[in-house]
Amino acid sequence: MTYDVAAMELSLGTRRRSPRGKQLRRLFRKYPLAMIGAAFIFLVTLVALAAPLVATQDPNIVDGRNALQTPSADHWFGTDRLGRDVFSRITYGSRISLQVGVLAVLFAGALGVPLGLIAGYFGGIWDGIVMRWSDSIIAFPNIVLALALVLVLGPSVLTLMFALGLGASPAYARLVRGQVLAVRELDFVMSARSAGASDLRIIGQHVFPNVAAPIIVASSLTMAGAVLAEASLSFLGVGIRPPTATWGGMLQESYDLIYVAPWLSVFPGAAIFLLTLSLNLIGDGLRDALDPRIRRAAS
Amino acid sequence: MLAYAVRRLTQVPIVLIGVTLSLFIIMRLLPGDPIQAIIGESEGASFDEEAVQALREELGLDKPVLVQYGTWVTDLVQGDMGQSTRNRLPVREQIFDRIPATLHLGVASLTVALLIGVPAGVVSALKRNSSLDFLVTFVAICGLAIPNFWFSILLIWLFVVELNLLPATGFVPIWEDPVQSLKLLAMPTTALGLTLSASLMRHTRATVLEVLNQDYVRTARAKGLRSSVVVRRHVMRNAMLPILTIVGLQVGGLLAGSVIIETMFSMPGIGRLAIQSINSRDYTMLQGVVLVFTAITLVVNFATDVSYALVDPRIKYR
Repeated sequence: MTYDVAAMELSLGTRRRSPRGKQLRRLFRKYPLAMIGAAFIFLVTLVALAAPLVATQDPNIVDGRNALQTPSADHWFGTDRLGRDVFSRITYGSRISLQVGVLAVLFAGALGVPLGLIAGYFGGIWDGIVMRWSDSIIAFPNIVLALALVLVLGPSVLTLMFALGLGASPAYARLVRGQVLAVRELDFVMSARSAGASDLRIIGQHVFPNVAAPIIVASSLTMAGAVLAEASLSFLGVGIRPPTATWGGMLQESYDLIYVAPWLSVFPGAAIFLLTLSLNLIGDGLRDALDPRIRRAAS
Repeated sequence: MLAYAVRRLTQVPIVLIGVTLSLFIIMRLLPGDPIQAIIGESEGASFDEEAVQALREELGLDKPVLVQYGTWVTDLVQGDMGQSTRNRLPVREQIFDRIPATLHLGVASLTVALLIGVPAGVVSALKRNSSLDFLVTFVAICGLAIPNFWFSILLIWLFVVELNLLPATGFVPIWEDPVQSLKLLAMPTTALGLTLSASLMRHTRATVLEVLNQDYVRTARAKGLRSSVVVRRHVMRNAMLPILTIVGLQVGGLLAGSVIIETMFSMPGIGRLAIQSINSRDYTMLQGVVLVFTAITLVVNFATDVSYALVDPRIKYR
């Protein structure tokens, strides 16, 4: 297997050999869309971390006299029906989207990856249990599962992490299981076993490193899905409760004002769209870089 | 082959039980009591303890969860999906009433997805790395990222608010008033069909690219066949099967999407029924809706897997 070294270094953070600027330019030429996506994620992360500095005012200040203003120099994205500044609310809303996205991916990975390793490595009854479990979650309409779980556990970032992560975990389990099945019978695993290595050691030292690359690809696509799902739940009114600013929640509040204040619906939706798009672009770029089979087909 | 189909079929009830039992337990952990929901609505604030208890017993909610589940399964096997805890009408009839709207939306969206996604994917693969390919691929990746509820809002803004071309929300069966029905379906279908066509386009492109790389395509080219013949006879025939599988897998996404789209456009479908029954704590109704969703997904997946194995003799199943 040959991997694209430049992209591997970018994604896995191994040591760089050439100066950073030159490296970036080379990567950009090769994967322009993925690099644009990465730049946008970087920007959103900065905005989320420095929200109090970026926002032009407190996102929750209600000002009835200035309600429903069109975008202007004072209010870049206008104001909502309570006179709150839309730009500032989008700034703070990025925190919820990113937190839920990252945490859901971590939870899905923490649950799905070990289960996939167990199913693939031990097979038999373990494989059966894990696969029926994953079939059940996949067959469960995921938005209904998430809705029910959020209603049971109450809306919070951790609840959303659990509800969305649970729905995404079978994808990890199946992916890892497939990779393990492919790797399990290879010579280096056999030789480790004949040298007396324990199962745990074989999984940790020999099997897991070989399934890491597809997991990274899957993670950026899973995060895109989680960001979209969080926005959908907030739009349906079961996400993080108002007045906390969330992009989906802002769309829910502005939806029935479409006749009088359509701009209110444009900006939060565009934010969700661009974040999801960037994550998809990075996922595609990583897949092209890490999967030699697809690259061969595309060249 | 038959053994594979039978073994695959025995997994269906296991998964169905897994899904419905876990939903059963989750729903009973929900804060809020369906009895309170019923009484609070019909009789204002009067709480007659005896009446509450009687209603609870009548609906079987006083028994342990597993007993309730057992009763539900026993009734289900006899074709009875129970009665709604909300309006006490039979769940089965209410779900049947909701099927036309969901069917309209699903069939229309799938048609749009097939008509746009497959041709776009094929052209993109045949002309790979051309500017047309980049354009189509980019539109598809945008289609996957766009939240369908936001896309719906934008459609309503353009076609209802600005241009005043389409009625905003509602549903009319096509056999009652075809013109009005299609007008009402136009926006929900576009919103749901866009994501589907984007995903179908990407899979089609990847599949066709893979087939183009096969030895038999090279052979066909080498023996001097015209490229249109190669595409029609060798590439498309071999690419169609994987593409059909993807279509089968998308039925799940279609159902999930219908939950939001039907709610947005006030379509009286099963997806909207799911949201309504969660909001009103209608245990039996939600149980029925999820059962129907899950069963559809499982049956379609089963049919796709088995047809795949039937048609392609190279595939062996253990």
